[in-house]
Amino acid sequence: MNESNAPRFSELLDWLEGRLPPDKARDVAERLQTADAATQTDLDWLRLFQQARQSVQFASPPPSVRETLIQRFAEARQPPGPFQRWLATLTFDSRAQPVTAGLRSAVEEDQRRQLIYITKAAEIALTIQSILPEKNFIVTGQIFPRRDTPTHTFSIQLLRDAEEVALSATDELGEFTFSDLPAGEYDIVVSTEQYEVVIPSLHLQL
Amino acid sequence: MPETAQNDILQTDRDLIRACCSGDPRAWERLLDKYERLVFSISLNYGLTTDDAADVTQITFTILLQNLNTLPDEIRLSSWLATVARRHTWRLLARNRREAVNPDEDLAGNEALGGIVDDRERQELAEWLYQGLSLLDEHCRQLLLALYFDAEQPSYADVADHMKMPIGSIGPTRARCLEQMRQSLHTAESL
Repeated sequence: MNESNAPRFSELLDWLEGRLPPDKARDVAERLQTADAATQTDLDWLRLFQQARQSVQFASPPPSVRETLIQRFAEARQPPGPFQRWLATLTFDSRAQPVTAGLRSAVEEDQRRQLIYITKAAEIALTIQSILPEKNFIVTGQIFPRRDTPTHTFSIQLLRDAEEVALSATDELGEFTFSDLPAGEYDIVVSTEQYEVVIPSLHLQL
Repeated sequence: MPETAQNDILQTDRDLIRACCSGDPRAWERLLDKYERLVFSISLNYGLTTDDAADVTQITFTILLQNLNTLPDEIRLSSWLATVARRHTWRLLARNRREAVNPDEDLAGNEALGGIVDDRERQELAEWLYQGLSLLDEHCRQLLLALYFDAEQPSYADVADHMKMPIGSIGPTRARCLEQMRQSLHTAESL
């Protein structure tokens, strides 16, 4: 058989997919009887493709996957530096909120104070609790990182007059605690390998 | 630079990776366009649920993101992603088997699989297909995906409308794309 008479790749495809009119389909079938090895290889390949398309599932992931990955790329590629530092901004102070009659007791008013700080990197919630009669304080906190930073990787430094007085670390929930703190003014430094957040001038007083 | 010219530049995996490293979000989206379906489908074809396959897809691309700066220039990204996706799929399958009271029931939720999770030939076929599609240019890949792998089985007219192509060119173009896929696979296999 003359090689030029062999069915072309596109003809083989149309023939396999049943897209040819009967007379042309018969013609391709006849020409295939004496086709060369290259044509047979093409036919085998197309049959394999057909088998694959029939047995293999092919689907797109839910849109939320892409949204998350685009967000992660944006966070991971945020410019630069080797290390970033932010000063936290106080956005909520329970003592600064108007008291609705009867809803907050005098004990609660005196002994527990809640503060929320924000930065570009994380949101930090602090609870300051006074312990009577020792007149000491417990500071508990929780970090909610905005970036894809695991919550258990933060170290928390408590400073007084620029000197470290205590060191802690977050747990799996991003929580940490400092106990038995005397009244005074403190700074808290929250840090990871990528950044550092400073909470300045935290007053512990009755 | 006009957008079309910019798009032309971002054709190869190496270009895409470099553009991602320089912080170009369009490159990352194009990379997801190119491979998210492949990665997701690997897990699906191993029998994971949609939710688990979505988790694996997320993990796989997050690992890619973490490794963008250290990938070698000559990397075959489709194979790299397939390997990572496969590894995490196996982990989830193993965990699901451990946790399921009846492992057969657990995996039978994926009806299209017919409960087959150990079909080696089927997996090889799937990965052969993924690799072939990933070697195509974007236009060909989208055309073949629309014609052969869209669950809604759109007509030529629908595909022509969607891809803004003359309907008469759909048939010949799909043949050219398949021929390109066969040649690309042949070249890749002989390397």
